[in-house]
Amino acid sequence: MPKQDALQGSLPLLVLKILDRRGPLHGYGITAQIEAISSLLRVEEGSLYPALHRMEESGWIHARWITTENKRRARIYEITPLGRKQLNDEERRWTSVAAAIGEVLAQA
Amino acid sequence: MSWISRISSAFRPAHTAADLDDELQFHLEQRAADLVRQGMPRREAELLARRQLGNPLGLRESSQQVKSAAWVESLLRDFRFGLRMLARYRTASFAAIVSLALAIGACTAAFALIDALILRPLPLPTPGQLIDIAHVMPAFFSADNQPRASDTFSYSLYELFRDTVRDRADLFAMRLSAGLQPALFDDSGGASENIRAESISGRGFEILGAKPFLGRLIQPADDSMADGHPVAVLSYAFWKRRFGGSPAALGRWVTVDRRQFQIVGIAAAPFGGVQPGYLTDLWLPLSIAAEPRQLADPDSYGFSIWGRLPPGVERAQLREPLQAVLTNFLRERVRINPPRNLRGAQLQQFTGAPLAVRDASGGRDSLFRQQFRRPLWILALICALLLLIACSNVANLMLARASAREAEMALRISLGAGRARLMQQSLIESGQLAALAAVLALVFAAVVAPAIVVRLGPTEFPAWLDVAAGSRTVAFAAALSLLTALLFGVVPAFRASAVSPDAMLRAGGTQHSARAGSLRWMLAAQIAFSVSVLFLSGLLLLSFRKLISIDLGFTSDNVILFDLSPRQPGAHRPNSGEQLLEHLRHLPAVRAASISQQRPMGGAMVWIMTPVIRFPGRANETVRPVEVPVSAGFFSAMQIRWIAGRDFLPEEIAANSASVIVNQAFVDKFLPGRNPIGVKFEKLTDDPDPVPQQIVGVAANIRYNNLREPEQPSIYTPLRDAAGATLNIRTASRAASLVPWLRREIEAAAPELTVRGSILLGSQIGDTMIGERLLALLAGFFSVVALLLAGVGLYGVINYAAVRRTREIGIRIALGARRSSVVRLMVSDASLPVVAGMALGIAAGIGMARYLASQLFEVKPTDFSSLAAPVACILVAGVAAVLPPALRAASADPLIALRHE
Repeated sequence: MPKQDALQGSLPLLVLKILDRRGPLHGYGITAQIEAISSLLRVEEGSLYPALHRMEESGWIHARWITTENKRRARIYEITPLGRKQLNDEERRWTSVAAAIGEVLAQA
Repeated sequence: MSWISRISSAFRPAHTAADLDDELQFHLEQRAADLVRQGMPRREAELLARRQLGNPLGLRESSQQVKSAAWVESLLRDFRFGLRMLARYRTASFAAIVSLALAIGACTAAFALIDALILRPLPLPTPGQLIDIAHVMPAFFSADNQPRASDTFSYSLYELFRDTVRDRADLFAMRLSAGLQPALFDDSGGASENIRAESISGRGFEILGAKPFLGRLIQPADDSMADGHPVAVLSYAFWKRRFGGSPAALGRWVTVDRRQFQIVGIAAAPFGGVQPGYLTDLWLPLSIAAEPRQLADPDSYGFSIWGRLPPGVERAQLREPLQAVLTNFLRERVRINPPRNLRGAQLQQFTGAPLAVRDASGGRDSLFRQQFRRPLWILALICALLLLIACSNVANLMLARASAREAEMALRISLGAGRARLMQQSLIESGQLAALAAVLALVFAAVVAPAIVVRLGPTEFPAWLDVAAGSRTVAFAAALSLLTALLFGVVPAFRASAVSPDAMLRAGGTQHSARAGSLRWMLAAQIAFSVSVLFLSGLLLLSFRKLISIDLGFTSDNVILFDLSPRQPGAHRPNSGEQLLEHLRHLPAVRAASISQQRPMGGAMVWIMTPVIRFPGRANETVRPVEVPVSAGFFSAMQIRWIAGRDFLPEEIAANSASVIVNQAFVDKFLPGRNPIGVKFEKLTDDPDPVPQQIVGVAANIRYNNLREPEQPSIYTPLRDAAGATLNIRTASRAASLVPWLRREIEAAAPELTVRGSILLGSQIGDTMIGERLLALLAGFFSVVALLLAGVGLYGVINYAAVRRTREIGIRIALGARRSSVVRLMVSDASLPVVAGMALGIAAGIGMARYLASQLFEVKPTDFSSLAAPVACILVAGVAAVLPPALRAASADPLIALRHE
């Protein structure tokens, strides 16, 4: 399992991607989704919520309270247009960096 | 999240924290449920979930940092804490707030007055563009031989000026009024009222940028000698006062100077004329209000020339062309009408008088403003000193409180609170004190400033100053209280944050060397401020006492002054008023009656004649005596001591007699050691032939024009016309109640005369000392406040020091020190800052007293008596402050003091 540090910068990217693809989710739902897709990645739960709140602060995601089927209050997050733009930029950056790193690894 | 939501979430952190908890709790439940579903026992699943999530408190903290601007929250917390502290130290807080409020309020009131009279520009659009024109009259034109700026011109000069700069600036003319004149409104039932009427060119209002509130203002078409309109415009404030704000004022007629004008408009507030301190009641069109003769005569000055520069034009650009016009004009006048008393270099100086284009945004300097500029700044100086006293007082208080709270501070520092945070909290507490004080101060100023304005004007001319709390006053009070908070808050804040926790916690709170040092300095500063306030106030009070106890040379009780005017100036024939005086002297309540040309004690409002005289066989005298025309009986009516010779005879008054009476100062100056009776001299006037004079009597010196001027050599000449003069009536008693009756008697006995105004001589004298009286009154008030503040401060600090030394004194006594030596120790401890502060205060006071010199009368700052009073006051306050705690400490049981530990 990679060290959580490596994930630090990319956590918002993953969260945005998940929210974009799967629609509104609560914090636990986001963790569960990431873990379901990748057995390798594990979200450090302690950093998820501060990250979510920072993203909310930046206006990339929007939070609201809902009541679940079993009458439980849950806070769900959904991506905003600004977040979608951010996702686009981040994704492009990530793929180009990954490609560049791959190139170096292949040709070094 | 926006700034607003950040800050608003700082205001309700509890809510946000609960939300966060909720969210994390939900996460834990979900995770545990999943784990249980995967087959883990419930208990174990919950533990694992919690472990994975991490420390919930840290999580919450880091999320909260995001959600609310942390500093806003810490500010709020400190704010609430500060309020709790204020409430806990209730008495101290109350004392601090009241003394600060008093001082800030005094400063704010002084500012409101100075702002309204001196600083604030005229309430007109872009006042910075307004200009007026002045020229400097050579020194030999004035009696005191000083060059003086004159700001009036003749109408012909105005027209020349206006046309010369027509394409660069708009000029207009005004006749401004220094005094009041009678006006008759058609709804008054025939009783005339004294108002300030001014006249203005047709374009004047337009150029000034004044707007009508109702109706219209004066327009170019009104201002024409041939076919103008006799219209009048009221100022808003006058309209409110005279007509109660009724629109029915429009269309009414008013008679001014025997001409009728119809009121057509009200100028919008707050504009009330261009002379701050004076309210212009009424404006008239210039060329209709002025006598045609005045407009036509190129040598008749009296018109003020104002204007407005369009953007981009500098004042300097107008100066040169206008100067050329003025010089040419004066040369031409001198050629046509050569002045007899000027020749050679003087003539050159006269025609070359430099012209100035002045910034007129602050309005025209009225007599009133000239008179009060200095007293108001002195008032401000004293208020500022008072504020410094209050500041050092409160700083002492805060210091004392800070040391009382040292244990708390030490605990907080050792628990990890940052020093910046402690300073922030200490400054916030200071700010809260200052803010509360500022609010009270505004209330105080709102009450005091108008009360002072009422006392500024002479009885006849009420001052008009807008001192209502405007944005400028509020901003001043706010800025001042902020400054104050820093001033008294910084030292305690540093002290609070400089606490060393281990020393504090270990020693249980009895280290005090450093603190005693800063306290001592604060005490010295406070005493210095108090001494200088007491010193300056003392000078003003002493000077006022000297002024009111001065020997006038006449008695003023029960004397009424009536100003007489001809009823019909055109048809008026000079009349000595002898018949009128005869009639009055036979009335039951009248003791004596006489007439004098100038109103006694007229102060700056009276035109004084100062002729050049020459004794036979001597050169022209360089000192010019004052000429005072009076009727026979003046000296006995005013109860002036008679020295030699006789009074005027009635036939001397009637005929154009050469007899004069002089005063003792005249004899001392010009005829020392000679018998003055029968001496002849010549009076030189503009008339080429000198007027021969012969002295028939000598009267004692009196203060004729004002209280301050020393006795000047004076000539009393026979008064030839009662019209335009002042009638002085001495009644047996209750003069004030006889005024209306006497007025009717005068007008019945002399139908060709009318009474323009009347005043008791006593009030007239009072009016010449308004500035001094006001300063003395305020100085008295401020010195009581200063003494009170200083006393409280001294007591607080010394008492505090004594209490802190209780243990040390207990040890000393236990070791055998005598009680008297303990008292001596404590007294000598306090006396160093007291003495140092006094020396500093006196030095500063003497330095500042130079600024007061113009207001002082026969009092010198270095007089022993002016120094003794403040020193004695502070000493008494100091002794009163130090003795009780010293005695208490000395009589304390050493066991109790030690057990205190």
